Amino acid sequence: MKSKKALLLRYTLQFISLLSFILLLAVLAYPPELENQLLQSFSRLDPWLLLSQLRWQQEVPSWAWLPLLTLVSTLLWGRIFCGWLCPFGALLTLTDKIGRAAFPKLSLLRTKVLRAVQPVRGYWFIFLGTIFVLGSNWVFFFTPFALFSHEIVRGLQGDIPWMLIGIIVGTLLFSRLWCSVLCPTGVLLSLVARLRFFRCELAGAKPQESRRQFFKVAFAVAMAGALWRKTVWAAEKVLRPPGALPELDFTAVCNRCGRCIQVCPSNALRPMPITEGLANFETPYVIPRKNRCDLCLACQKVCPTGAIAQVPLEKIRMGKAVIDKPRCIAWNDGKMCYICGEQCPVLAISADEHHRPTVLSDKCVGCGSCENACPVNGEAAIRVIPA
Amino acid sequence: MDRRQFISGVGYGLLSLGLAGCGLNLSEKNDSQQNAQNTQSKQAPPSSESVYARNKLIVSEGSDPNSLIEKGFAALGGIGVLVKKGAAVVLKPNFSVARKPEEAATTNPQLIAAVVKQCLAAGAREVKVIDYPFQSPLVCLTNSGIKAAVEAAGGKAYAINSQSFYTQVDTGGKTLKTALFSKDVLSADVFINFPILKHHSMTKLTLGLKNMMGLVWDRGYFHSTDLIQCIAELAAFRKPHLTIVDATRGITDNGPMGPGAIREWNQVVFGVDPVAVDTYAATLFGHKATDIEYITAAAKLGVGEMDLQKLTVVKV
Repeated sequence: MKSKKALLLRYTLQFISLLSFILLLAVLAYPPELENQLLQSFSRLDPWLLLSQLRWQQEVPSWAWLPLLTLVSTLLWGRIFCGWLCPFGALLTLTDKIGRAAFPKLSLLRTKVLRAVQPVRGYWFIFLGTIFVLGSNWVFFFTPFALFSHEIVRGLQGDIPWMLIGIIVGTLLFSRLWCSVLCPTGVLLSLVARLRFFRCELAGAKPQESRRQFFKVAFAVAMAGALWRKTVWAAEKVLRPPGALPELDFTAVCNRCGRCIQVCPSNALRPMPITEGLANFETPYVIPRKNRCDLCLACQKVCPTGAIAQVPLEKIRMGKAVIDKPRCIAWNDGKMCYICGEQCPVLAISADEHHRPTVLSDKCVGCGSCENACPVNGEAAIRVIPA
Repeated sequence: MDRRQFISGVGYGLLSLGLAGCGLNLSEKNDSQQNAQNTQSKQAPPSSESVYARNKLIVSEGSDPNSLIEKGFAALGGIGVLVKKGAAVVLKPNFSVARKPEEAATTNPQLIAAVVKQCLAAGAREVKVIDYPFQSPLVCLTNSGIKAAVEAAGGKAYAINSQSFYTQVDTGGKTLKTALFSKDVLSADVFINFPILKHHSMTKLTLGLKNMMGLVWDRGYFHSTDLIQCIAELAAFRKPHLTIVDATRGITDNGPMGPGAIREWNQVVFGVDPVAVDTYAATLFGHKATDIEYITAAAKLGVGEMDLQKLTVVKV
C-alpha cells in the first residue's frame, strides 16, 4: 500500500513538473516576473548549472544551495531528481509507458539494448566532462532544462522541435535510454548515486578489467581533446544580445535554452541557423535590419547561465553604428531625414544644421535602432558593426 | 519582396475599385490638386464636421489629470455632444517611444485614462487607444504606463504595428498621393488626436499634426520625399474630431526619443481646428507658429487657422 501511495505521489509530482515547466515557458514574456524566477529556481536544481558557473564565472552563486540540495538528496536516496522532479524525465516516463503499452513485443529487445548501451554512459560522461573542462558548454545543451526548454521554445516560436521528436521516438522504441545513458545530468546523478550512503556497493573491479577501462577512458579523453576546439569557433561577426560575453566565451557559456528568444518583446533575438556552424547553432543573435533591440534587457534577466551577463545599459556595447554617407539621403540628397537620430534610444547620433546625422561612437551601444529605421531601400545607409 | 508586392498589388486593386466607385479617373486625379481635394472629400468619411465651435480653444490648467479633462470637456460643451451612445472612439496618443511617464516623452497615461472614462461614461461602445511605436509595442505600452491605465479605465490599448491594421487610401495630396492609413481611425465614429507637447529634433516640435504620422504604415516615404509637405497633406486628408494636447509636461530637447530636459506647463489644450491647437501649443513652448514649418504648410492647404487673434482662447 505504501509503495502505491509513493508511486501516486511520484506521478503527481512528475505531472506537475512537466505541466508547470511548459506553462512557465509559454507565459514567459516581457516584463519577466514571477514566471522567470520560478523557471530560474527550477532549472537551478540541475548541478550542471553550478558546474558551469564555477567553470566560467569562477564564483559561487547565491543559489548554489539548490543544486547542492539535488546532490545531497541523490546521495541520500538516489536519483530522485530524475525520477520525481525533472520535467523532461516526466515526459519521457510518460512516453515510455505509452511505448511499452503500444509495442509490447519490443520489450526483450529494449532490455537487451539498454543493457548493451548502459556501460557506454561512463565514457560518454568522461568525453563530455573533458570537453566541458577544456572550454565548451554545448555539453550543457543536453541537460534537461536546457534541451527541453530549447525544444519547447522552438515549438512556441512555430518551428519544429525535431530533437524532441527524435528523443520521443527513441524512447517509444528503446525506453528511457536518453535519461540513463545520454543525459549529462542523469549520468552525473547516477554516478553520485553510486556513492550513496545507504547502499554502499563500491565493489572493486577486477584488475584486467580496470586496465581495459583505463584505455577506454584514455580514448574518451583523447577524443574530447581532439574534438573540442572544433566545437568552439566564432561565427562571422554578428550582433549578440545586450550584455553578452565576448564572442568565444558567449558561445561557450550559452546553453541554448532559448529563453531569451522567447522573452524578447521585439523578436529581435533569433536562433542562429546551423549554417553558421555547430558551435553557434541556436545561439541568439540580432539582425537589426529585421528587428532592433529595444534594450529592455529582459534577456539578461532570463538567462540562466550568465552568457548574457547583467550589464547595465551604460556599459553595453553590442556594436557600433557606421553611416554610409553616399547612400544616406540626408547627406547625399539633402532630404529632411534624421530617422536614425530620432529613433536612437541613447542619443548617440547628432545632427548638424541640415539634420545630417553623425554617430557619436562613444555613446553608441549597437542596438540597431538606426539600421532598423533607415528608410533607404534594401541595405540601410547606417549599419551596426558588431563589437 | 514577393509578399510586399502581393500586398501592394492588393492595395492598388482596392484603390482602383474605390476610385471606380467614386466615378473618378486615376490619371485625372493625379493631375491637379483641385481634383485631389474633391477626391478626398468624397473618399474620406465625413470627419470633422465638428460638434464643437471651430474657432474656440479650451485651455485647462492644473495638475489633477481627471479634473483637467473634465474641465476641458465641460467648457467645450460636454462630451455627450461628441460621443454618442454606442459610438466607437479611437484615441491616438503618442507612445512611440519606450519611455516612462516621468520621462515626459509620451502622452500622460492618467490623462488618457480620464478621457477613456469620460467616453465610456458618455455611452461609447468601445474606446481604442492606438499608436504605431518606433520600438517594440509591448515595451512601449508597458513603459509608458498607457496599457495599464487604459485597461483599468475600461478601454483597449494596442499598437498598430502590422500592415493588417492599415488600408490603402487616396490621401489626395501632391506629394502624398496615397498612403496606407489606420483602419481603426477610418472606421471610428469619433477620432481624438492626443499628442504630447515635446521637442522634436527635425521639426522642432511634435504636435497634433505630426502625431498623425503614427497612423501611417510607411513613414519612411515621408522622410524620403518631403516630410513637411507630407505632414500637411496628411492633415488635410483626415482631421480629427478633436485634438487634445497634453502640455502638462514634456521634454524640451533630445526629442522625440529623449531622455531630455523636462519642462512643466500644467496645461491641456482642446480644440477642433488642428492648426489652431498646434499654433497655441507651439507658442506655449516658446516658438512662433511660423517657425514650425508643418503648421504653416497645413495652414496653406486650408487645414486650419494659425492666427491666434481670430480664435477665442478660453482658460479654465
